[in-house]
Amino acid sequence: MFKPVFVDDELVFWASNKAHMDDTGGSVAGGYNPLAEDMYAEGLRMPPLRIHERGIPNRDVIDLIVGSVRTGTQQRNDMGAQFVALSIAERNLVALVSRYGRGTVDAAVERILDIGEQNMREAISSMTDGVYEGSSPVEDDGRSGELTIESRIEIEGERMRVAISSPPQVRSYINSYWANTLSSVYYGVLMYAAIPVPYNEGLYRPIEVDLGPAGTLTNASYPAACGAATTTAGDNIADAVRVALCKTSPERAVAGWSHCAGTNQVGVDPRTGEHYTFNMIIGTGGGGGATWGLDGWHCVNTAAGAGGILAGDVELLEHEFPVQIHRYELRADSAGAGRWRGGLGPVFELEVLDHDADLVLWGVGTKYPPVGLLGAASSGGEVKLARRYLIADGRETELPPHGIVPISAGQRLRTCPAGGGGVGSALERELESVVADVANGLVSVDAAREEYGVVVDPDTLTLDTDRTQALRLELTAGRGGRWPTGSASTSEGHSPTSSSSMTPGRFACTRWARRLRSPVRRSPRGSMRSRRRSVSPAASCLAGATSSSRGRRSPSTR
Amino acid sequence: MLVPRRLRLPVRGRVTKDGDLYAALDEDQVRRHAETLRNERVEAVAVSLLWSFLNDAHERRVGEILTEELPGVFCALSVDILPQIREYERTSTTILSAYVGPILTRYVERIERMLRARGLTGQIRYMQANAGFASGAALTRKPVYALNSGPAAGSTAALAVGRQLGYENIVSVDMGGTSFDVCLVKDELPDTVKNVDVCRYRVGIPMININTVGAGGGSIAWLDTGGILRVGPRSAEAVPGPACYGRGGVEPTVTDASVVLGYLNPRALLGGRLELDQPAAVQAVRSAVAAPLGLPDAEAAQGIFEVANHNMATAIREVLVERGYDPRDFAMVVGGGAGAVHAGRLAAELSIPEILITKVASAFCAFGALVADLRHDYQASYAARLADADPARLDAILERMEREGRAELAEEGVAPEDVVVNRTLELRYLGQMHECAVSIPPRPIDGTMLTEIAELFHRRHEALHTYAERETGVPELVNLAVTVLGKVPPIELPARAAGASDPSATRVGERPAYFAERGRYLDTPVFDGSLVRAGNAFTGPAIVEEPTTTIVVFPGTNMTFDGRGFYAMSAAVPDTVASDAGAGTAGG
Repeated sequence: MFKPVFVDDELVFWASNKAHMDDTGGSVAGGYNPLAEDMYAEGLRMPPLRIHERGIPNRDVIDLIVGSVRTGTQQRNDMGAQFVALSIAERNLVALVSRYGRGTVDAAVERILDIGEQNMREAISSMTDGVYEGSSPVEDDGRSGELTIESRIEIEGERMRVAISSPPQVRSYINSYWANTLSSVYYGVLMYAAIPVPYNEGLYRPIEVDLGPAGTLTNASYPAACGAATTTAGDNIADAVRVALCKTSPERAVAGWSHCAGTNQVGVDPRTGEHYTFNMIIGTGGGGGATWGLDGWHCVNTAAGAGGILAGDVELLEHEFPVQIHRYELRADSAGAGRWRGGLGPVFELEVLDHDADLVLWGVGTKYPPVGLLGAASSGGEVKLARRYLIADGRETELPPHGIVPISAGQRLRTCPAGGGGVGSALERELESVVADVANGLVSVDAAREEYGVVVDPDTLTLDTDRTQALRLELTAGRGGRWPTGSASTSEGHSPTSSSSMTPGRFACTRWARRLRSPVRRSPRGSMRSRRRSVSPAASCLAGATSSSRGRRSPSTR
Repeated sequence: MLVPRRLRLPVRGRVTKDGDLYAALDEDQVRRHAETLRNERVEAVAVSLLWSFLNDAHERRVGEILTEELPGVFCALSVDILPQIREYERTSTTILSAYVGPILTRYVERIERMLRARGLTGQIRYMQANAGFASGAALTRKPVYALNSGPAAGSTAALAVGRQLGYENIVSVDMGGTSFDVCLVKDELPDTVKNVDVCRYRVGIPMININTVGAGGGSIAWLDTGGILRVGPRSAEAVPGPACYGRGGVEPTVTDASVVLGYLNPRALLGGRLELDQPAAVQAVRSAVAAPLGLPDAEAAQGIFEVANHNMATAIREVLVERGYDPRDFAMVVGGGAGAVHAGRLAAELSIPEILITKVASAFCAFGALVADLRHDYQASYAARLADADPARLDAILERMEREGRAELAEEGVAPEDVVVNRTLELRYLGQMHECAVSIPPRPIDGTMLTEIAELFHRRHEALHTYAERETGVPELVNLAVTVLGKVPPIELPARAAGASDPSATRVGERPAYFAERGRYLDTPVFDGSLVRAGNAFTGPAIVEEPTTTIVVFPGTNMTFDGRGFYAMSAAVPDTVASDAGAGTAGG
C-alpha cells in the first residue's frame, strides 16, 4: 500500500508498507495456489487502485476487495491498519518538513542514502576481485521438473555485478518477477555483506543486477503465476548469490537457511461457521544457516522474512483455530553439521478437530538440504530434509511438497522442516560444543561420531578423548584434509555439476490433483540418495557415513 | 540460558483448551524427572503445563510430587505466578521466579533476622517491579516481582511529587551517568506494561513501564562510519568517566559537552567536591567531533547536547505519544544528577508545559521507596468474543482475584478502608495478535456493562493506534487483571522559609553559557540553590546550582521556587523573549 505525502500541495514523499493478506480469493483459500498455471488462477488481480481519494475512502474498491476474499472482515481491518500506519508516517514526515524545511530534509535524506551507498562500496572493496559462480537447485514442484538457478558475480573494486540466469518460466506458481528477484538478490548480498545501518536504497547503487531476457523463471513475464515466489524461487535466488559470494571472504559466509515448506490449513471453523486460513508458521520455520563464528538459530521463519515471523503460542493457536497441537519440539540431528552448526528444525504435529479441512502445501526442502559452506556438508540424508505426513488411522503418508490434500476430523498433520546449513568442516567443531549438543539432545551420539568425528559415551554423555582423536584424524584424511581458510573452492554448495548429477529423473511428475486421496505417492528418494554419494569427496564421505545410520530414530528432544 | 536445554523436561499428560483432561498425567515420569533433577543438584524448578490456568490439576500434582521428591528445592508453578494464556510468557516468567526464588528467600530471611536483632519492630516491606510494597512472605511467593524494583520506585517518587503539587499525570525522567529512565503516572497510577524483556528474558507480569535509553552524562559522543554524530549507548561509566573528570577519559561525553557549553560549573559539582577539567572537555569535544566535522567547539558541543536530547525526547515520546497520551496533559518531574540540565529542552520539544525539579534529584528513587503504597497484581484469562462472554463468569473471576488481594493486604496489616481495587481487561479485535488494556469501573458485570466495555476498548484502541473498528471489528476478550493497593498516608514535606519573589540575594555571579537560539555565549546569571527561598522567581537564561544537580533555565523560561523544595519551570517557547539585555558574547 502506498500513500503520497504532500507538503503545501507538493508531493514530497511516498509512504509505503507491505503486509501479508490471509487470502486473495480465487479457487484455493490462503493465497497460495499450487495448481495455478497463470496469474488469473491466483485470485483477485489488482492493478494500482485508489482505495482512498483526497482523504475519502473509496468504498466501491474496498468492498470489491473485501467481497472477493474468504476472510473479508479480517482483511478489511488489516487494510485499515496498513492505511493508518501510512497516515502516521505521513503525519511524522509532514512534521519533519515543517520543522526543518524541505531543503534540510531532502539533504538529510540524500545524505543517509549516500551513507548506505558508501557502506556497501566499502564492503564490496573488502571482497577479493574476481568472478564467482553459484547455483541453487529448485526441486521439482510436480509439474516443472528439476530446475537450476545460476548466479555469476563479478567483484571489481567498489562495484558488484550480479547476473542471474534460469530456465524459461514454468506453468506453476514458483515464477519470480523482476521485483521479487531483485529483492532476493539483495537479501542474499545483505546477509553476506553484514554492513552497519542505515539500510536503504543507497545500498543498491553499487550493485548492478542483470536478470537476462524476460520470460525466465527468475525474470517472469505476463501471465506467469507467482504466488510462491517470495520463498520459491526467492530463497533459491538468494542461495545462488550466497554460494557465489562465500568464496570472496569466508568470514562473511552465511550458510543456507531451511527452505520454506509451508502449509496452510484452510476450512470453515465449526465453532463459528466462518472461513479461516491457518498459515502454519509454527510448523514451517526450520533452522537458520550458520555464519562464520556462530551456530544458526533454531526454528526461524523464514530466510525471506529474515527470521522475523513469530511462530505463535500453542495456546493462542489452539484458541484461534479448530486444532489441537500434539507436538512441537526440536528435531535432533536436523541441523547441517559444521564447525558452526546450522539451527535445528522442529517436529510439529496437530490434529484437526470436529471438521474436515484442506491442507494447502506450498514449499520445498524435501530433496536438497540447506546448503553448507566452506567445508560443511550439503547432504546427510533423510534427517536433514523437510518432511510432512498425514496421519490417519495410525498410518503415516508422506505429503508432496506442493498440492492440496484434504484432512478429516481426527486426522493429524506432522511437519518436519529442515535444519539450517553449517559453516566450516564439522571435524573442526570444538569438542565441548559437540558434547554439549549431545547432552542437550540436539545431536545424537551416532551423529556426533559420524558427522563430527566425536565419540561420546552413550551412558555418561562424556567425551572419549582418545577415540575421538583417532576418528577425527582418520576422517580428516578421508575428507581430503582441512579446509584451507580463505581460499575458494569449486565444489561449494550444490554446484551446477553436482545438481545435474543429482537429478534423479522426474520427481513425481504427476499433477497433484485437488482432492487427492491418500496414500500420496512417495518420491523415489532411495535412488537419489545413492547418487548423491558421488557429489564431491567431502559430501561422499559424509553421505556414506550417514547412510549407514539410516533408519536411526531421532531421539525425542526434551 | 537460565535452564540448560538438557534440564527442560517434558511430562506426558494434557489439558485441552476447554480445560478438560485429555491425557492422564504420567506420575512415574515426573518421579523419574525428579531423580534427574536431584542428581543434577538443581536448586529450583519451574513447572509450566499447557492450559494450566484453566485446569491446574496436573500442574499442582507435579508440584506435590516435586515437593515430596525434592525437599528443600524451590518450586514455582506457572498457575501461581502468571495464570494467563500464552505459554511462552507464562513459562519464561515462572522460570525467572524459580531463578530468583532461592536467592530472594535467603535474602529476605537474612534481612529480617538482622533488622529484628537490631530491635526493629515495625513492618518490613519490599519494593516490587510494580512500584508497590509487599511483605517478605508475599514477595517470596512470587519472586519475579523483585525484578527491576529499584528503578520502579522512580514512579512513586514522581507520584508523591505530583500529589504534593496537585498533578495527576506525570512523566518522570531520571538521568544519571549511563542511562536515562522514563516513567509515566496517569491518573495517579504508575503506568505498567507486561511482556517486558529483562536481559532477554520475557517477563509477563505487570512491571512499571521504565523506558531506558543509553543517554546519561557519561554517554560517549562519536561519529559513525557515515560521519553522523551519535551519542551513546556506550558510556564512559564512573571510570574513566567524562574527559573533564580528569581520570583518564579522553572521549567526549554529554557531561563534557555541558561543560563546554558553560552549563556546568567546573568548580561547583557535588557541592565543590568534584573539580572539572574544562580544557580536557574542550579537547575531547574538539578532537572527536569538532575537528572531523569542521565545526567550532561550541557548535560541536551543542550538537552532542542536541543529539542526546533527541534520544531522550524519543524515549519520552515512546511512553507518552505512542501510548496514546497527550504531552500537554502532563508535568515532567526531573530526577537524577544530570536531568535538570536537559529538562527545559526536552519539555519544549515535547510540548510538556510544566517541569518540576526536586532538590533531592540524585536520590530520586530512594525517595520513591519511602512513599509507595502496598500493591499486588492478579491475572487470569478468559478468551472469548466480548459479546459472547458470560458476565457471571467474568464477575466470578474478577471477584476471586479481588478477594485474594484483599486477603493478602489484610495479612500485611492494611485496613479495609485503605484498600483500592482496579480492574483491567485486555481486549483485541478478533484476528489481532496483541491486546490493549482497558480499565473498567468496579461494578458487577452485566450485558450493559459489556457494551460499555466494548466502547472503552474502541476508545483506547483509537488513542493508541489512531483508529477504532466500531462497525466491523469484533472485540475479543483475552485477559483479566486486578490490582489492589493498600494506601499509605501521604508524607508531609517540611515547608521552607518564605522570601520575596526577587531572587537577587541568591545570585552568586555569572558565567558565559551557550544557547543555540542565540547562536552564541551569553553572560548568564548563576544562582546558589542553597540560598533560595520560597517564592523566588526569575526568567531564563539562568543557571541554578544545587549540590547534586544543576538546573539550566533556558532563555524565556519562567522559574519559581515553591515552599516545599521544588523548582517549577514553565517550558520556554523559543524566540519569545523580549530582551536578553546584559548578555554578551564570550569565547569558547
